[in-house]
Order: sequence, then structure tokens, then C-alpha cells
Amino acid sequence: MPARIRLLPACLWFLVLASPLLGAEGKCGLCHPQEQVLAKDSVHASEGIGCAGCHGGDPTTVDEAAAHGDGFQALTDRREIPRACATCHADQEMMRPYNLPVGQYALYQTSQHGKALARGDDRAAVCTDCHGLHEVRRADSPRSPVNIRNVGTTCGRCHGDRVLMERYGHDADVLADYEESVHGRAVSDGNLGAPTCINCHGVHGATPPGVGDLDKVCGNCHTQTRQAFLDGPHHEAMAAANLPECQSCHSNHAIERFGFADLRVLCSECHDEGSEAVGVGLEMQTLVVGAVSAIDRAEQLTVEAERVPLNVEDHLARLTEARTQITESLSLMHAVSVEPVDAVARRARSIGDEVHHELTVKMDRTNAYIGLAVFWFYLAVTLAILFVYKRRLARQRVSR
Amino acid sequence: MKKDAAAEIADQPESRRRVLGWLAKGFLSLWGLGFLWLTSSFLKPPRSRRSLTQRVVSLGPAEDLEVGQAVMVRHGRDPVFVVRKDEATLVGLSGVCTHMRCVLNWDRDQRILACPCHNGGFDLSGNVLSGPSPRPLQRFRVETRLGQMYLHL
Amino acid sequence: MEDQRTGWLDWFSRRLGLTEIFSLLTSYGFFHAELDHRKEPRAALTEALSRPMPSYAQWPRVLGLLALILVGVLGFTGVLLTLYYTPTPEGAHSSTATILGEVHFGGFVYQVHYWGAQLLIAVLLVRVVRFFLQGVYRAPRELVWVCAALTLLVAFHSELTGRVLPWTGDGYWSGVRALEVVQAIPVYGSMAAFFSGTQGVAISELTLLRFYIFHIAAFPILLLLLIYLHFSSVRRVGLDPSGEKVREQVGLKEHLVNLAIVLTGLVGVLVTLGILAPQFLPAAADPYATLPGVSPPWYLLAPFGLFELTAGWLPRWVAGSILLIATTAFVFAPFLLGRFDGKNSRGLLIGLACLALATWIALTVYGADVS
Repeated sequence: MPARIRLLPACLWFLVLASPLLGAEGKCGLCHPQEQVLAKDSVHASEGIGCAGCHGGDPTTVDEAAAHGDGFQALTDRREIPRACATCHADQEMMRPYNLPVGQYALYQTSQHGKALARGDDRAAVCTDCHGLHEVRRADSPRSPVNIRNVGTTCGRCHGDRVLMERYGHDADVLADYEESVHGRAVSDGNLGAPTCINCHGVHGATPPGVGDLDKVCGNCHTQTRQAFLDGPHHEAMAAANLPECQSCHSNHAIERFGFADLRVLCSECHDEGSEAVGVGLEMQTLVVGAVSAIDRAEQLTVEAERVPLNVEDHLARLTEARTQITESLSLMHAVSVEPVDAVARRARSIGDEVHHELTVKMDRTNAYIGLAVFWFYLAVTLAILFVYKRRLARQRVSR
Repeated sequence: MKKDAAAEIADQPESRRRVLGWLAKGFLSLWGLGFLWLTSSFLKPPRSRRSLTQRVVSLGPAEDLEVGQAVMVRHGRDPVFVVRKDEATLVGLSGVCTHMRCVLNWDRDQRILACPCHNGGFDLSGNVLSGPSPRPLQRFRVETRLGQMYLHL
Repeated sequence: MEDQRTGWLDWFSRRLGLTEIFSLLTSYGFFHAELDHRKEPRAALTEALSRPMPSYAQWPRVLGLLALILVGVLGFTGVLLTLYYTPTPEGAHSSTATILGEVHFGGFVYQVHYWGAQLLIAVLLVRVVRFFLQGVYRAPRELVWVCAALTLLVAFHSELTGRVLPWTGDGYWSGVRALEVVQAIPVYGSMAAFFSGTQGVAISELTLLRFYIFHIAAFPILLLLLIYLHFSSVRRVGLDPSGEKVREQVGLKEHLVNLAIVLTGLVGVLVTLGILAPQFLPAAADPYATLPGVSPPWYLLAPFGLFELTAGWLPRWVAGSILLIATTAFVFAPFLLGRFDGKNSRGLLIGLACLALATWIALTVYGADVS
């Protein structure tokens, strides 16, 4: 390591220890006010790492030559930045008090960004492009570009730039596709457990997908689905044909909640229309759609029943179970075999039908109407008796 | 003779009228009886299914549940799992995943509650072990009194 | 046997004013004659029955009888309902749901109570119209009219306090809208707000409790008082406003049979309505989330319409005063209508009344449209 860089840790420690005496920012801001303002709120500043921590030089003087003197690096060349950050962030002893990982730089060098940078391409992403420059913040701060909610936008700054991506032959629609997808919407709705770019592509070691690379990532969350897929015939067939697994049907970024109306069209993309394969798909679809409609029908009835009012907690509980089974059946569909789907969908459907039947019986008013008819009969006889009696009394009165 | 005949004729309508009269009175008294039956049925408190105090569910003898075994209690809308952690400890955990409300399964080998939908997993304190769930499971108190288990909702 | 019966009757009559107690029961309409309290019950009854008794069960006098029976039915079903109802915001809806869903015949009692209330208001309204058309407000019957008018108003108040009690979204918010209307009436509005314990128009826990107390105690007592006064006045002035027509005169037995017929018919109508058109229980009220599209109770739609119509150009208290004056005129109409007794004036009076009714209906339609 060049002596200049080896000197930096020592300077850093000195500055950290002496910063209360010097004032954390030093005098750099007198000539560089913009950067000082930006750096003030950063996480580095709050830890007492001032301008000299990255740039070196002497922060105590306003004389340009002295300030930009010994050990100073301007870092205006992007290609120097990862190495500069790694000076501290790859140093285990320095990162230990904060318990931060130190493998980022090594990973970065294996990534496409790192490799491009090593080739001399200075348009490749470096640390500051994602983490911010002088205003770098902790990842859990809502204003940090690497906060989960902002990851898509940050990656999209380059990967959504059509002109830039054309140069590399990349698709520039990925950000728009992702934001419209189920995952993107989940994140923007506040479900921070949903995947962003980094969950599938990796962070510092980001590599574009190749066939067989990224497909297994889906199975990290959608385990049952992947298990079913591995059990089915599509797995080997697609591997042999060098087709991506999940992406072939679900696409990679524009993943939508699957609508059943599309199933036949989708199967026909590879299989002949009217073939047995498409038939299997149709049959599975019919089973699941039938079960879902039975459950929906039953749920509608619970809303009505609750107004009577009937106690529908038990029925709602069973419908929740039925819906879980539907979700299970959707996973099982990936084995493209009718029997397992049939077993689960049939159970779900029967729950829906049972609940609907029970509530219909409970809400049935036939008994009430029969009782009313009996009552009317009773009423008629009573009135007849009373009128007869009244007439007799009237006749008695008149005869008197 | 004539007087007897006349008396006979006078008698018959009278007795028939009396019978009809009694029938009518019996019929009309059903109103009163019906009213009394209705009122007394109303006054008897119903076997309450929705009572606010029914927050304690009896689960049977404590020895029925072995260590590492779980039972799913269906009471109210969301099921609850009651697991025996060890000889002395019972835990009650919500049986609904906090991610997208799928119903959980008890994995006996790993001693976790597993969600079949997105590979979610929860430990016996309800904490999220794996999967996309944002929150831990709700916990419920399970008490053993005189050898019987009771779940407090 | 005869001696034994008179034996215990005498035992009581030496210790209690039996005739007085009996007349208290009969003063609610079993027959119109006054009982002489100085005589023993038997003697007093015989004397009262020797006088001719006009038949009640003739159109249109049956309306008063219907109203009385309905008040009795409402009172009885109401007491049954109070045995399960809790008047707190937390417990009101669930206790009502318990009554409707779990208590044996709870739904039946609830429906009879609801339809009885609607029928009572309808009957009282028709009765007031009938009194007007047949001149049952002219001297010496002014108080008969005043009692009938006040009974109608108290019935409206009972319905208003009653509809909030189940604590459903519709009931709660229609109650809030009603309070908006009532509080805009000067004098009376502030009095109502004071008694209800409302701060603004929100129905708090305190207001619910007070509504409950008014509904089960204050208004029923007021109603019974008004009914007693009404019957007392009728006993004094007689049933016939015009002495010309000959009324049928019946004995006590026949009179009671007529009562039984009316009672049976009414019970039949109530049960039929309760089973064919049952009221459901919508979701519980959320005082922090205004339910859209809820209008004030139908009888307050006209005042509401008036307020909306005059919102821009007339201060609210002026419109409220109009309402106050109109209501007072309605209650004390006999004292204002004296000048309309001539043949020509009668036509004018009917015309004016029709105009008033048309205005009321138009405002109601407007109010319903706007709310």
C-alpha cells in the first residue's frame, strides 16, 4: 500500500481524538461552504470524521497550499473513490466499534460495476453514487438513497436512464417495470419485507442475471413454489432448453399478481394449443378458480349474515383457512400436475360451500313464514269467535 | 208432553252453546299461554356465545400435551397455537402469519411455527426467524390450574 | 260462595279506597264514565254502567284506543328489552346484538318494539288530523287537542332518543343530525342541549345514558300523564263534539269485546310487520368517522330543509324561531282557531291547513334531497 494511504489511518485517529479541540469540520468550509453544509448532516460528521478523514490535508488552515498539502487527495476522479472508502470500510479494526461489515470492497470488485471500473470505465457506479457523497447517511435514515424505500429510485438513476443504458445494451425500463410490479407496489405501500433490487441482484456484488443464476433467488422467499417446480417436468425441460425458470412466465421485473384468465395464453406460448399440456393448465385453473369463487360467495354471505345479526366468527375463521389453502394450491400449480392441486383446491372449495350452506340454512326464513301463517290462522279464528260473541251481545241488547 | 218436548228443544241448543263456549274459551286462553311462554323464554338468559367474559378457553388436561407438541385452538376468528416448551412452560402464539395472514403450521422437528406461503418462520417467543414477516407473533398467556390448561385470549 | 267472595272484598274495602284504586285503572280508557268514589266498587260500577256508554270501536274513535294499546305494548316490550341492554357506548351495540341474535324471542320483541313505535307515531298523526277535521278542538275540548298534540311531540322525542340506543352507524349519525336541527331552535334547543348533556352535537357516553333515561323513564311518565289528562278531560266533556248524531250504546261486556277485537287486530298487524319486515342491525357506530348519506329522522326533515333553504339569506336563529312559533301554534291551536268557526271561515281554515301541510311536505322532500 502506498505510504500516503498508510498514513491516512494515523491521521484519522489523530483527528478523531483531537477533533474536540479542532472543531469537527475545521476550516475547510470557509472555501468549500456547499460541501460543508452537505457534510454537516452526514453520518461521518456525527461520528467526528471531518473533511480530512477522506481528503487528507490540513483542515486547520485557510492557506490553500497548506490545506491542500501533505496527504491531500481531491478524489475528483471517480475511479479512486471505492479505494478511498475502503481505507476505513474494509478495515476490520476500524469498523469493529460500529460492528459494520468489511467485505463490501472485495465484493464490489467481483461485481459488474467493479469490473467495469477496473477496466477504466468511469461511468460505472461507485460507492458515492448509491450512498451519497458528502451527505452520506445511515441506511435506515429515510433520506438515505440506500434506504429500502429509495433503493429502486437509486438504482434507477442509472438503470432507468435510456441513453446511458443503451451504451451497454441494457434494458432501461426496469425501474418502471419494477415500480408497477407486485413487489414494487408492496414496498411503496410500506411492506418493507418485500424485495427491492438488492434482494435479488445483491448489493455490492451485483451481477446481472444469467440463465440459472437469478432463478434460485425467487425460491428464497417462495420456497413452496420452487419446491413444487423442482418436482415437476418444467424444471428439467427448461434447464435443457436453457430457459430461465421463473422469469419465463412471470417476467423478471414486471411481476404481476397472476390472473387466471391468462393461463391458457401463457401455456400456449410454448405448448401447442389444444395439447395435453395446455389441458393440464386449464384443469388446474378451473379447480382453483372454482374454489376461489366458492370462498368469495361464502364471504359475501357472511357480510349479510352479520347484519341479522348472526355470529360469523367461526365461519370467517374457516374461510381464512380456506384462503390459506388456495395460496398453497397456487404454489402447487408449479408442479404442473393436477392431483396435488385438486386435493388442496377441493378442500378449500368444500369449506367455502359448507360455510355458504350453513349460513343459508341459518338465515332461512321459511320457519318464520310458516309460523306466521299458523299465527294468521289463529288470528282469524280468534276474530271470528269475537265477532260471533259481539253479534250475540248486540242481538241481546237490541231485543231488550 | 208438549212441555217436555219444548223443554228438550230448549235444552239442546243450550248445551251445544255451552260446549262451543268452552271450546272458544280454551282457544282464546292459548293467547294467554302463548304470551306467558314467550315472556318466560325471553327472561331466561341465553347460553351466551358472544359473552365478553368468554376470554378463557379450557384446553383439557395438562398431561395431554407433551414437550414439543402443539395444539391449534380455534376460538374466535384467528386460531392460536399452544405449544409445550418444556415440562413447566406452555406458550400461546397467534396462528396467523403477520405477513399476509396465512395460517401457520407447527414444525415439530425444528420447533418453529412455519408459514407455508413465503417460507416464514417464528420461534417460540413469536420472533421472526425467517421470511418476510414484519412483526413478531402475538403471544397469549397459557395457564395450568389444577392440572388443566387454560388459554387466556 | 257468594258470601265468601263478598267477605274478602269487604275486608279490603274497609281498609282501602277500592273504588278509587279501581277508577285509577279504568281511567285509562276502559269506559268513559267517572266513578263515584264515595260508593263501594260494586255500587259505583252499577251506577256508572246504568248510564249509556258510546261504542269506542267505531271509526274513527278507535285511533285513540290503538294509541293507548300501542303505548302499553311498547312499554311492555321496552321493559323486556331493558333486561338485556347496557347503555354504554362499548356495550350498547353488542347487547343489542345479543338481544337480536341470542335471546329467545329477542328478535321478536325487538321488532314488535320497533314497529310499535312507528305505528304509534302514525296513529297519533292521523288522530291529530282527524281532530282537526272534526273540530275536536272547539270549546270545551281545547285540552283534548293540547294533550293529543303534546303526546305526538313526546312520541317524536321518544323515537329520537330510542333510535340512538342500539348505537348503530345509522342510528348514531341520524341522532347527530337531529341534534343539529334541534339545537338551532332558540330557547328549546338550548334547553334540549342542557338536558342532554351534549357538548356540541357529539353523542358522548353521558348523552347516551341521559337519552336512555329519558327514553325509559322521563318520556313514558310524561306520556302516561298526558294520556291520563286526556282521558280525564274526555270524561268531563263527553265523547261527542256534535250532539246531533245518535251513537250506539253498548254494555260493558260488548265494550270489552270491542276492545279485544281491536287488541287482537293490532297484535296481528305488529307480529306480521315484525316477521315480514324485520329490522337488521348494521355495524356499530364509530363516533370518529362520519357516515355519509345519513339523514335526520323523517319528522325532522322539514325543519332541516327549512334551515338549508334559508341558510344563505336568513340567520339560523330566525329560521329556528319560525319553527318554534309554528310548533307552539300547533300545540295551542284551539286558542287561535276560535275565529274560524263560521261556515265560510271553515273553508278558509281547511285551505290554510292544506297549505301548511303542503309546505311541510315540500320541505321534507327538499330536506331529504339535500341531506
